[in-house]
Amino acid sequence: MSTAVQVLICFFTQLILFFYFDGKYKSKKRSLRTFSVFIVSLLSLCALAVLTEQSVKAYAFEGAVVFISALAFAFLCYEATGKNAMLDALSLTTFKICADILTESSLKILYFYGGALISAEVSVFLLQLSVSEILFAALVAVFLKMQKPENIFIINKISSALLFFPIVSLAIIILLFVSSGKAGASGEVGTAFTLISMLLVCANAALFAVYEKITGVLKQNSDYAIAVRQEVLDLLHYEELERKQESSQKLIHEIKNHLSTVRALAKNDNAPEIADYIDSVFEDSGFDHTREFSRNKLVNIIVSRYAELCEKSGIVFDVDIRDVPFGILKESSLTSLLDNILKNAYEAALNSREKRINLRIELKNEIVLKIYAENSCDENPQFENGILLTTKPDKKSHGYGTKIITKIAEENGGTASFVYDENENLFKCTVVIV
Amino acid sequence: MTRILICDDESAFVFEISSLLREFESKHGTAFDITSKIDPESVLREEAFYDIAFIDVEMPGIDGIELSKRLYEINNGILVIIITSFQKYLDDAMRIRVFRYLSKPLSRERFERALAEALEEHKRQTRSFTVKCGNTAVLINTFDILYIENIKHGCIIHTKTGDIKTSQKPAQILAKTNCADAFAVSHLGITVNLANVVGLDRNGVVLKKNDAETLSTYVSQRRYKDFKNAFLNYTGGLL
Repeated sequence: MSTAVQVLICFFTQLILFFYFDGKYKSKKRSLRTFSVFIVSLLSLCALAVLTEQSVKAYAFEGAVVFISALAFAFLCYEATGKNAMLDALSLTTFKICADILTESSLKILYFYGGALISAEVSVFLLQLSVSEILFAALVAVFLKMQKPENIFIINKISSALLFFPIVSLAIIILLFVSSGKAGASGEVGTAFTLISMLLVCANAALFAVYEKITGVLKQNSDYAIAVRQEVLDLLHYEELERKQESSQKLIHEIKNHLSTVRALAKNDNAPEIADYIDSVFEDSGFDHTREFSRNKLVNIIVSRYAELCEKSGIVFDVDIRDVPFGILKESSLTSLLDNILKNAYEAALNSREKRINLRIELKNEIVLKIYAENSCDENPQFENGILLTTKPDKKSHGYGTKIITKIAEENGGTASFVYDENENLFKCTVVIV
Repeated sequence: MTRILICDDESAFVFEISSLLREFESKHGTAFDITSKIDPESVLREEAFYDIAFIDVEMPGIDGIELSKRLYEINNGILVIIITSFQKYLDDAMRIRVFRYLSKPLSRERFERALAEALEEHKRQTRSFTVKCGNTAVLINTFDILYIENIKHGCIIHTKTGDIKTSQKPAQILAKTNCADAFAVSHLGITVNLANVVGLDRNGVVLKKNDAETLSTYVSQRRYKDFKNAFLNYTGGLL
């Protein structure tokens, strides 16, 4: 029975190594090689665990096997560089040895005070192995998370709750162990309890893995949705440009007609009629309505579109755009950024009592492009980890605006921030790019 | 007392702005020294010193843009608020340093907001404090500080006008500035005034001494990220 537990624990160690490298590096897609490395490493660990006695020397051997296994995984199965593989192998070995030593020391203290309750030495040894393994898994999981800062932000209340599972597992293992000791259970029963507890831990680990996978898929879907929205905005941008070009051609045609009429009137010396005719031409709705807010044509198109919408909806729209180098952003990024900022502002202002938007674009300290938009907003929006949550009923298809703004700002070496001023009922969006 | 100039060829409009300023005074308990002019030429003849100016763009003789340029020559720190009834983009106006643009007809809310921001900026630019330099006390304008260098028994404050050596430590100086958020450590012993940063990359920080001169200081790789974040927060007004 104790050999079975030891093999299971070695298997668990191998699984931890495998998940670590799988979570960090791109796989070389050679299943047979991965399987071989896994089995050879597992056999080595098992042989070592079964044949050696528990001692400092054994820890050193175990560390060496973990180190070689980690290197083999990194080089043969995953696309890790030499430096990274070495660092990972060293870190994992250190974690393994530290977990072993820490557990042994802690349990020695526990045995010292509760020694009378423990009768089976084999169970004590297996308990130590199990606890050490869980500690090793926890250290590796935290280490992996720390190397992917974006994952830290994924942790929400649910995943925080999941972190209690290993602690509960540990408590159950110790409880079972002490109970079996108290009940005067034989070494075999104690070992069986430990084995069952290990299975429980495996189930928890599987739960973690599934949760991580689901979180990853959800994040991928979210990124995909953002990409789709950006594509749509790009498409709208080019459609708008096409529409402008068509309207320019129409305008040239109309101007030719108007000039012919003016020439005809001029031939008859009808000066007042010419003036009236020119006035009527200026009032003609066929003229291009793109207003000049800046020296950048693309910015003018986007801002004009929202200025028109605001005018129609009775929203006061104040614009102050200075002579700034918009060239630091790609056209598609600029379109997405401005469109999302103004779309959010317009939709919120539309449903507010005061109905106003203030857009300000300026250059700060000669190198920082600052885009600031504030809009009236009667309801206090909800934030999570600094990201605005949608207030719209259809949560599936909305809520990406602020994510896109943040993404573009960060991609261009800047930041985006969203603040709600409760005193003035104003929602403020600031994007700074350097 | 904040010195404010109103210059518009339409006296009715000068009166309107003046009334709005008086209302702001009583509402916020502040006091302004208001000068009203309908002739831009007379403003230039007098060469008086103003903190904030409300200037109309369309005026006979010297237009608002030209007047603003001349006012900057007299007082580089003046905050000009341009008032215009033009609906189209003012290319020339955008090229000069103008604090805010307000369009006619004036809305009280927009006027008050622009004025409040201008007063805040003026306060920021004119904030000063004294430090002991040997046996004398020296008055330093916070905005003039380029960076503070920590030395064994005190620090050296590098300003736009010169260096000041004091026995006080950088932390004490920062506490005196009353705006410690506007400063960030670029590397060991060097605390930079973010207000004067006009260049930043992994190689260093460029500080603006005056319109013609800049100076560079080193930024350590370890502190680069924090320094950049502090700079972005400062310029974004997020502090």
